[in-house]
Amino acid sequence: MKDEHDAGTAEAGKTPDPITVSGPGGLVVPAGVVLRRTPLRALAGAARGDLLATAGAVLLAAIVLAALLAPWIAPYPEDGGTATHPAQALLSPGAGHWFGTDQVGRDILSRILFGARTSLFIAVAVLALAAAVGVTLGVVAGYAGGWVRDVIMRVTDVFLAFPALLLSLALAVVLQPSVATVVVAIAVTWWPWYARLTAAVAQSVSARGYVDAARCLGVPAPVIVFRHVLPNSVTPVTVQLSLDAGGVILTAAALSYLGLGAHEPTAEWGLMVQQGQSLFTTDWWVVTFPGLAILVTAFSFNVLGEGLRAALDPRGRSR
Amino acid sequence: MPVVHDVSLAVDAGGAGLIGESGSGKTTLARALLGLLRPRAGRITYGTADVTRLRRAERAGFRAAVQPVFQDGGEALNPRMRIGTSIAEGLTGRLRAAERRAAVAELMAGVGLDPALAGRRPHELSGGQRQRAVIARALAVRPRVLVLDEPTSALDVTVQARILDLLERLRGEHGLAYLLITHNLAVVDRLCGTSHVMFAGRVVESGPTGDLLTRPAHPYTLALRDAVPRVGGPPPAASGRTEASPAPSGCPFRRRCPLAVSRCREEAPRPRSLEGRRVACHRAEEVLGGRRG
Repeated sequence: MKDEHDAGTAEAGKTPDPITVSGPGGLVVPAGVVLRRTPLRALAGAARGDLLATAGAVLLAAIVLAALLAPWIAPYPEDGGTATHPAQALLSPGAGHWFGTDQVGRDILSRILFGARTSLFIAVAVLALAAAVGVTLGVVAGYAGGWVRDVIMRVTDVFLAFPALLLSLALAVVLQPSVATVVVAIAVTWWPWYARLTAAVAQSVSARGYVDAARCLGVPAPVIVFRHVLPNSVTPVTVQLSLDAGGVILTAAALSYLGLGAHEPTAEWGLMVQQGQSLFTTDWWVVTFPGLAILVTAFSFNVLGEGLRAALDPRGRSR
Repeated sequence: MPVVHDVSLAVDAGGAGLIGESGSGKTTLARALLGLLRPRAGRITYGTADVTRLRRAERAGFRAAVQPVFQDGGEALNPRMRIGTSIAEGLTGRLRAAERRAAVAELMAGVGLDPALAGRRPHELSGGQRQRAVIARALAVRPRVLVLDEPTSALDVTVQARILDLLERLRGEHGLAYLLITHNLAVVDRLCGTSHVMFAGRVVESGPTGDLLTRPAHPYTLALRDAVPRVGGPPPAASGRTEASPAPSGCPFRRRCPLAVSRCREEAPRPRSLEGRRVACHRAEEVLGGRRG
């Protein structure tokens, strides 16, 4: 579409050539060929033009695959768990250990692969929890309006008033340090964003003709919300989810780094960074590779999210 | 906040038209009639029941009896639902899948839609087909009154004519009464015996549609009529200051009225009877006499 437009303006200075249609029986156009703009086609089209987002998607696919296949592709699968090899402590990167080994002789590459499982699990769990709560409250607030909306949005504002990391920290301190704690602590700070986003979209969807028509037909409110409002409000949320996944992974790493999340012997990137940082001047690889893993994963989610937003938002399609 | 004042109108078998420009309050009024808005004050009666004070059980009956047909802007049908599913929304009771399909097919055939289109989604249909689907959905609950909000505005002229034919036929077949909301005077003429012209939330002229169109008694009705382009005629020109906002005191139309005099600023005209209609204008006699300012 864009190309045709550009071609048109490029010729604008000259007299346009007249368009003639000729041939036996005039112009023949095959009937019934309709190229629909399905989400998949939109994505495929966007992928062609958006190298960064495509790179993010490919990297993410690789990370997910690595996490799933960790027990089979890790060179030392037992190092993902409780194994220790004091004799091989702090070996520098080389043929036997591509990313070197840590203080207790565990292969860092293996632990990064297992750590991908922890990080992705936390990301998925946090986002599922936060989206479930946030979208539900948001859709109800957006459809109901009035005092229901006011109450829900004021509660949301209270949560948003706290800096996210601070609230997570406070919660993580109160609860026992564990992966589950990290998930709950982050989800508590994350859902209000989805509630606010969904409420805004749901409010505009609720004013559309098909919602009014359903109300006039006597369709019960819960059915209207579930059948009409929810499906037409979730697109921006799905984009936001992929944008946020990187942030969740960073926050989870931060909590584990501060000793409030995963603990030994769980393979977790933030924890690995924390354990390696004091060795940075002598054994740089212990802290560097897990740090890079965090960076690459968060970055991939971010560029993919940006790409999705550009592809699915009809107004901002060409960024 | 859109506000509608002092509006009284009756919808009967002859059809009632509600005419006005954007922002005149006609859609607000329609939403109140449909029970989608609660009026601050006033009564809306259906039969003998006050719509704003219905009990739960009565409301279900009213809801089914009065159905909207919104304009097709692509938003009257849920874009994610198949046409057949949208039309079946109002079908109540425990229907088996086959019964539901049959009922939908019958409704579709009734509005001139090929039942084979039931599996399509709205964006796969033409504007006229979508408008027929919207009508079929409303008919599923056997309404007595249809509130038609700009039912043809989004359509080509030829498609408009066919939808109006359909609405005329359905009125006879189903014994329907229409409240037609539009800015298009030609459409009102086809479907409504009585018309009401709204300006700034008030009805400024009411009467038999034919009389209003041939001999308007309110300068605003006259301006609306003259703004309709005619084939072969001169292009319509907006007369008066059409951008002026309604006046807060006196006659709300006076800032745009070519006939406004000092009395119009001091005293708001009250609706009065004149030659078979109700009109709110101090100088209605002169408008009827053909004076244009």
